[in-house]
Amino acid sequence: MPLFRPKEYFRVATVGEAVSLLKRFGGAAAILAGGTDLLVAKPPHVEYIVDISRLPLNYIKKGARGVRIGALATLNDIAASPELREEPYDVIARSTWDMGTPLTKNFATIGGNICNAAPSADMPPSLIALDAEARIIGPRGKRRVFLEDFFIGPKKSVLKRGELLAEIFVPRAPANTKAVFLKKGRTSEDIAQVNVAVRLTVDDGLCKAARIVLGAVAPTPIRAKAAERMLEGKGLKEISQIMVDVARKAAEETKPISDVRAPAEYRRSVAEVLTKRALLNLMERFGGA
Amino acid sequence: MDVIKEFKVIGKRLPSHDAVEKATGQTKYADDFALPGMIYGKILRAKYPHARIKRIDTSKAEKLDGVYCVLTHKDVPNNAIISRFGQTRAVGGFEGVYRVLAEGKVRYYGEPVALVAAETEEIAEKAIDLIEVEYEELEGVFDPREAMDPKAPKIEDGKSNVVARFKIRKGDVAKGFAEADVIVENEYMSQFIDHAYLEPEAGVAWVEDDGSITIRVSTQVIEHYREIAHVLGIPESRVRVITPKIGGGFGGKEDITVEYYLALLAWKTGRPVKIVQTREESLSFRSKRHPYKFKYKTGVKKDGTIVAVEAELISDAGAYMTLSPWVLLYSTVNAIGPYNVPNVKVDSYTVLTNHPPSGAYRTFGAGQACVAYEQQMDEVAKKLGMDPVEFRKKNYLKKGDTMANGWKIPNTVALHETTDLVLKYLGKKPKPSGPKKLVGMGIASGMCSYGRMIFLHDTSRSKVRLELDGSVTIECGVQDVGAGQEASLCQIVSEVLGVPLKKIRIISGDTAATPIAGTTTATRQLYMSGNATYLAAMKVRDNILTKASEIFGVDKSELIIEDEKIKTKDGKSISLRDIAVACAADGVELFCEAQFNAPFGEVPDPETGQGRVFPDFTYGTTGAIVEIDTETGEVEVKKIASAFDVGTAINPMRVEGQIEGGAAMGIGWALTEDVKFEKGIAKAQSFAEYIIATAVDVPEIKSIIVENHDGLGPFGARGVGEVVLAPVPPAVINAVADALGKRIKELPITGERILLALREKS
Ligand SMILES: Cc1cc2nc3c(=O)[nH]c(=O)nc-3n(C[C@H](O)[C@H](O)[C@H](O)COP(=O)(O)OP(=O)(O)OC[C@H]3O[C@@H](n4cnc5c(N)ncnc54)[C@H](O)[C@@H]3O)c2cc1C
Repeated sequence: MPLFRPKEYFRVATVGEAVSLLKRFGGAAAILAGGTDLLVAKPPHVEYIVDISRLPLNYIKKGARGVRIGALATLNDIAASPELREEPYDVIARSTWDMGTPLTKNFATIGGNICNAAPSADMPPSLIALDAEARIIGPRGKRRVFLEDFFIGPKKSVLKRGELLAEIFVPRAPANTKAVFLKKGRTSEDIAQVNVAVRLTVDDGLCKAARIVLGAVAPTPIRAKAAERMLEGKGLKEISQIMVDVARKAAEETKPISDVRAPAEYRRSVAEVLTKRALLNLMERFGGA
Repeated sequence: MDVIKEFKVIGKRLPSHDAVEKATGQTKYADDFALPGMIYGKILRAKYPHARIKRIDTSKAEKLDGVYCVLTHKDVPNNAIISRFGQTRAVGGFEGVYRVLAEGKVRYYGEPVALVAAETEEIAEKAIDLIEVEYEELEGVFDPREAMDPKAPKIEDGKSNVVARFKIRKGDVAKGFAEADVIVENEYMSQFIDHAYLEPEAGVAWVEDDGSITIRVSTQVIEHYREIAHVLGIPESRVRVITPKIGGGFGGKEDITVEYYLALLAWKTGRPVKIVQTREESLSFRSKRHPYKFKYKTGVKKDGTIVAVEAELISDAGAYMTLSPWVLLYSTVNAIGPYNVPNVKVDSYTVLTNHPPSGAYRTFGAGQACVAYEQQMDEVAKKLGMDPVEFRKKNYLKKGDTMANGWKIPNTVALHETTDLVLKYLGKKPKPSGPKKLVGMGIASGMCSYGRMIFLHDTSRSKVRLELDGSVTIECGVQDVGAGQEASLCQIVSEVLGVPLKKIRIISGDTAATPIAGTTTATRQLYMSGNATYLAAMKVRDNILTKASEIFGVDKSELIIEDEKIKTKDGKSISLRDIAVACAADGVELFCEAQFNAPFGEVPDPETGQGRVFPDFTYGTTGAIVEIDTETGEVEVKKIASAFDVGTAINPMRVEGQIEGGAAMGIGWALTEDVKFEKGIAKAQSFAEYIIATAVDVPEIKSIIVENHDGLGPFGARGVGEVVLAPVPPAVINAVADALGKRIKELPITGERILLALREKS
């Protein structure tokens, strides 16, 4: 990797300052949060660094309407947060378990994990499964986007010139909602070959809402909507019976590529297995299996 | 050696003297060093795996502000040189040509073409981009078997790509196979593996006031100073190489790395120059473990007696011959493994291709052979319907047997013992932890020499000096790669002279300041420099005992040394400090520089491969238990146990460290590591693609030390640094095969290969 010494480095004290610098330099500027993605593979043309690590965006707060996670919350903060112990939010903490090393996770932020927009990123599937929202601040003020709609391709998000991700908002989940996250890499510290988050909301013994979100099997994290539909309205018993078909359907909805990490075929097989295991796990927890 | 009856320091569990310094980040590695006025070097690398260089234009780079010099092969006084490092003796036919900078054509992707030195690293990088090289792409060859075809593209114009071949002929294989009840034939392979040391290749060079050159560089071989002098065309006495503590070597810093470039740039600019290779450079362009293709044919009697083995070994040497013939000879001598086989035929070849040069890597070819012969042992046992352990035990070498190369083994081969200990620890094969899981248990035995090939006439020197206050200084040119090379020498001196470790200082790794001790390779430093240091310490001991016997009027043999005192049997004593002062006053020498010579011999017969090649071997066994997830293909290594007869463990903690490190490395070799070259270009460019087993992936490792005290090292020690790796990959591979009921013959055994194998099976 060539050395990276920016032309200029700004450590900003306010969000406003960050936004104006980002607007001024456009594509030549990059936000630095924890730097664990940015400094490993600097995008070409980046000459200015806007270090946001000192902004007051490192918080995890639970309120009546949901959980707000500041973009600068580190993965280790998330892993240890008392606000994320309760179901279904525990899945957010769980998503950090198999990521990188403790050292990396002291730096790595949730905002960076999302904004880096890697198809294999480990935080988005759980957050999308919980219908999380990205809260963005830019030159024209604030806006919100469902995280599901945040990604448009590998390394590409909806963020526009001058914008930054300020917060992730996870709406309060309906009662009886549980979620699970599973990941397969080549070693425990590896980036995902496949990851999946599955969430079910059960009411009166029937599945009211289902989310199956898969990572590293398409240009962005994807929802396996056809598979989700197979679950909705079904009783737990029935779900246990069709689990294998649901998982197969989810795998069919993936569009994996072959790369140095895994061949496409393997990714698809593992997507099916992980989805099935996630459903099995939820069935056991709901007491339906 | 039995002067010292009861050990006070040898065999004790002692933390290394530099452990705290390393753990707290105080150790100054090659990159942790700077000089005033220092500039930075960068390397321009080939953009094609095989191409003619039509034109190199450096003018734009030279004009860039802050650039001190730009060098191509034309600026190198002796660009093509033969490497003969650390060799007391020239042996024809083996040594490969190295080119400092590509000349005429490039032979691998990433081959150094030009050098730049500039004020800053950024400027140097910019200058590299400004060098224009016009290439005419040539057809490349990337498979050693294809490269053997006379019609294949030639790496060295007009010459065969087969750069070395060896034969072993023992007994009569035709007769052997005729007697066999069962014959098993198989092919195996081993992949490209990177050393993956924490510290990439790095150093600083500067010109001294008298015009000579000093290079402080991370290397396993400071004796490369001779070749550096040759490249520059100056006397050897004018080049000094110092190695600081090394952040890992594993053979990757046995070949020259950045020394030539540093020396040339410092020499041309007169300024101190630093080069630190990036991880990408280290991973994609530096030497790798030789990949091998193996063919094995084994003939056995119904009762499990092996009657004949025929093997073909082909290794990928990469684009320059470098150490490939030596590595191949190791594989050839090890091809049969630690088994007594009356009829043997081995044919081995190392072949140039357009890959980066393959090189030394822990076990130096013995490990690849072990991957093949230990899989074959399991396959034969299976065909015989015999337990693989029983089958091995029936054929293990023992003292007095002759190896395939005709060498009669003079000392213990404790393989029955190491295997039993491993099995005892592993216990019964456990039940799978759930449905869709398979459990497998595998075992492998291996061997590896310690000390260099005897026709190199290897020597080592070390100097021990008793100071006037009773402390001790050791000067020895060992390179400490982190395995405790320095610490072991300190322990030996502490034992011999009765001086506590904290009063011993060792100065190592400096060609101008320390006696030349040869390479830190070939598991040779404890053996060679340990013996040299022992000899030196014993001489000093003898001198002070002689003096003390005069003082006390008793015979030397009546005196003992302990706790910094020389004591008589009737309770009189004199401190080391007082005896040192007394000796100094009388002109008695308080120092000794001693040389240890390994056994010397000749190159084995080229037609039969008969002849002793190594001083001695270390033998041992690894067992592994794995569990496979049949749905994802994931392999979890549940248990590893390794037992080796190390002769005498100078420091059991360090031996365990080696065994554990070997196990972790072996798991990666078997399951995840692969540089993956495609048309000569490495797919793995960082540790995000090149996957090493981490602490979480490595199970608890049971290290079992067996001591039969009949090695050639000090106090009967044998070498352990390399052998501890050899049986690990095949043990894991055999465990996977046991679980699957099917053998995957391509490495590494990834999840996708397991799923494929399971699908094929059903
Ligand atoms: C050894 C290692 C192992 C890893 N393992 C994993 C793993 O297992 N799973 C995984 O998912 N990731 C892994 N990563 C990747 C990385 O650690 C995570 O993606 C991390 O969360 C990124 O956060 P950061 O704060 O370091 O981001 P940075 O590197 O600072 O930023 C990443 C990108 O996001 C942009 N950015 C950051 N914050 C914002 C913001 N608030 N608004 C707008 N843009 C922003 C930056 O400009 C940059 O483009 C690993 C990395 C390393 C080095």
